[in-house]
Order: sequence, then structure tokens, then C-alpha cells
Amino acid sequence: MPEQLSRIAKAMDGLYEFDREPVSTDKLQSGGKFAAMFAGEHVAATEFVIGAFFVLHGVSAGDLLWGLLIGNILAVLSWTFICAPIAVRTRLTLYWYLRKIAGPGVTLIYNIACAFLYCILAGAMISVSSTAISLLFGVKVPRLGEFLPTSLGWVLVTLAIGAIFTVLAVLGFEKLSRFAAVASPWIFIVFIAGAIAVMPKLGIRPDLGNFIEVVTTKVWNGVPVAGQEKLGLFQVMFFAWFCNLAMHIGLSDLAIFRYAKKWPYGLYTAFGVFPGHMLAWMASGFMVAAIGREMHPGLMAFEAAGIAGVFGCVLAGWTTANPTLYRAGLALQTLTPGWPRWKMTTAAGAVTTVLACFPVFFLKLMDYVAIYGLVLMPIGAIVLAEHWIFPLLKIEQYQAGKKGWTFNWTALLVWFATLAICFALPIHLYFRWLPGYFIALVSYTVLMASRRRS
Amino acid sequence: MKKWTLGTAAVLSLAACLVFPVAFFLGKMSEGTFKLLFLVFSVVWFVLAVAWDVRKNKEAK
Repeated sequence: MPEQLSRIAKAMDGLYEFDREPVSTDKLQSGGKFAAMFAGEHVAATEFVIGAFFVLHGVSAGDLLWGLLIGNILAVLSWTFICAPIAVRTRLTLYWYLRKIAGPGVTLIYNIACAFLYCILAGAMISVSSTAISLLFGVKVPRLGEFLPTSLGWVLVTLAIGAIFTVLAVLGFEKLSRFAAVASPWIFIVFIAGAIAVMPKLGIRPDLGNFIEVVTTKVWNGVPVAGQEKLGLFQVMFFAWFCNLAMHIGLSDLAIFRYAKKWPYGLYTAFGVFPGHMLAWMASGFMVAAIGREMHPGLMAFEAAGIAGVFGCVLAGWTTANPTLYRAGLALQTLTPGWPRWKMTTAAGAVTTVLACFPVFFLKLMDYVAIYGLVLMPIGAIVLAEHWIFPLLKIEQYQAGKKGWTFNWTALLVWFATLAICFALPIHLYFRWLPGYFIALVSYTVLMASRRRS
Repeated sequence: MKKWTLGTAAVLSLAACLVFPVAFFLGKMSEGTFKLLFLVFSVVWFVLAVAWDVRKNKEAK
């Protein structure tokens, strides 16, 4: 078993070999490139669903505005003060830094967890695209509260979309990524154009005289639809903060910020989150209100912008599912290192497509996003403790790397124990990650310090 | 076409995609016309933006 594990670890290292060395100074990127990259990164198919859910969950207009504003500012600050400083000091990806801290065994488990979570996320993107294509074929889309596939038509459309996305991801990830960069500003325009175009349907007059009245009574009126929990200011704020938790607090964006000249480049994430996680969410709120508060992203886009809207919905799903499938394939490749990339991407695509047939993943997307961030968050706390707190307390850093441990059992214990505590905490799911973060930070530091004394 | 011409034309087509919904909202255009023009200029954006991207990459190489 240990031999097998060491073989897997070696093969896994080979997969990530290209970014093993810290980024050299000649490869650092300008602030403008960071701004452009983030601007194109945060407008995805899931924005159709999340923005609409705020309406369905009965968020009031004031709570939405303040919640998104504060939550997104907190997200930008998390990138700036937590993720970027570690990235510019180490110039390493999370994969290699975690390997030094927790050992290849923990890194392997982390990779498997990521692969599984990516597959579900890509599945939700495929489901969103399926709602648009279903519309063209007159297929009934699953309604709120449904967990299982509702019709053969839905399954067939979803399987077809998933198969096409997977084949495209296999055929040429890099060219598709370039096409995604072209599609991204247009997808954002679809959101904005859609919101403007549904205003007459909502009764907003061209002089905007009744804008506030319509917005507060017909869009974010504070009344949830039947069966949906009411969300308030703090839930909206925390959602906006944690929806990229794995990237900022969870530190997976070390991979990006290791190319930054200095840590304040974290502020450039504002170019992504404010258009994507504020304007696009608000736009989809208008669109869902205009179709009678029904969770049907395809119909929302079609009613708002016609055939172009349908394409926007499909493209939003595809352009975001594509890199997610690629990342899932890469992470899964650690399990079967002998397999070529195309085979792994196909396997990830097959799993993802089957998951996409289950509407629960896009109809419970907000809870899933919370769980996704929560699962990976303790790793960010462990890395932060090791990077900043250990030198202050004179605890030896990077013991796993120095002593050749396969598993840093303390890190693994802290990770799983934190998750167990978080899932048992008697507070709203959206708030659990914050106490969990401090639990992981303190317990890892204390346990590693006590290890030094013993 | 030169790179900057392609880039400018692409950005203008994207801007046009925003003008039509505003015109529809202000009552200057019917819903059908807005949706048709939005679709047409969306196609124009993709054609020009892809050509622009290809040209940029060729020059970079």
C-alpha cells in the first residue's frame, strides 16, 4: 500500500511538473492582464440561477443591494489580504505548497475532493444549458424541489449536451478557452440587455419614474415563493463572500496570483466579482421576475433576449463547464496516472453528464456552492497557519516536506474534524464556514505546537 | 483588415447589442426588431472578435 501510494504520488507530481518551480520574475504579469482576466472569469451559467434564486428566496431590494455590496467587498479583500500575499511570497500553486505542508497523501485526497466537486459544478452548468435547449424542443424542465430526472426528454437533452461539451473539451481545451474569452463579454451583455428588455414587461416606465416601486414590489419584494426559505441581508452578504471561498480563503487562486508583481493585485478581482456577482445576479433577478418567478434559466434568457438569449444561456454553460471539466480531468488523473488526458476528460465528462441529469444540483445550487467552499476551506486555514502563524510562534514549517511524510496526519485530522464540527453547528449553512475557519486555524496551530513540545 | 480595425468594429458591434434593448425599453423599437438586431449583431461580434483574436495571436507569434 505505501509503495502504491508513493507510485501514485510520483505520477501525480509528474502531472503538475510544469508548475513545480516558483514563477520567475520575468514571467510576472501586469495589473491590466489581471483586470482583464478577472473581468472575463466571473460571468457563468450559474449566474442565471443564483440571481434568480435571490428573488425566489424573497430577498428584499435593500438586503440584496447591501448584501451583495458588502459580501463582494469582503471577497475582494479576502483575495487581497489572504490569498495574494501568500502567492507572491511563495510563487507556488496550492498543489505544491500543500504538498510541502501536508504531504502527498493529503494532496491526493484534496485532489480527489476537488475532482468530485468540479464534476458536480460542471454538471450544474450543463443542466442550465439543458434548460435552454429543452425550450427549443418543447421538453419540460424540472421544477423547484425536484431531485430526480423528471422526463426522458430532459435526460436525453442533458445527455446530448453533456456529450457535446465533453467531446469539445477533449478535442481542444486551449482553443476553446480562447473562444470562451471572446464569448465572455458578450455573455455579460446578454445579462444586461436581458434585464433592460424585460423592464417594460415588469411595468417600468421609460422615464424610470416607477423604477423603485416596481423593483421593490415585483422583483425583490421580500416574499419567498412557496417552499423556499426566506433569505435576509446576512445570508446574501455571506453568499457573495463565500461563493468563491475555495479560490480566496481556500487559496486555490495561488495558481493565478503567483504571477502577480505584488499582493495588492488581489484588488483586481473587483473587476470580476462586481460585474458577475452583482450586476449579472441583479439582471437575472429582473429576468426571473418577468417570467412569473419560475426557475427556468432557458426561458428567462429567451423571453428577455430571444434566440440570442438561448445561445447566451448555452454558451454561458459551455464556456464555464469546459475549464471545469478540464480541471476535474486533471485532478482525476492523479488516480489513474497511466491514462492520457483525453481519456480522463472523457471519464470526468461522463460522470458530470450523468450528474447533470439530476436537477437537484442546479435547483439546490446555492446550498451546493456553500458546501463546496466549506469542504475545501480548512485546507486554506492550514496553509495560512503554516505560512504566517508558525514563524511567529517558532513552530517548524513544512515538516511534511522536510521529513518526507506521506501524510501530515494533523492536517488531515484538522480538515475532517473541522468539517464534522461545521456540519453539526446549529447555525445557517451559509455562516458555518467562518467559525470553521477559525477552528481549523487554531486547532492546527495548537496541535502542531504541542507536537513540537512532545 | 488590420488588427485595430477588427478590434474597433468588434467593440462597436458589442456596444450595439446594448443599444437595441435600450431603444426597445424607450419604445423606439418593437420587441421583434430588438431581438432580431440583437441576434444579428451578436453574430457580428463573434465573427469580428474571433478574427481579431486570431490576428492578435498571429502577430504575437
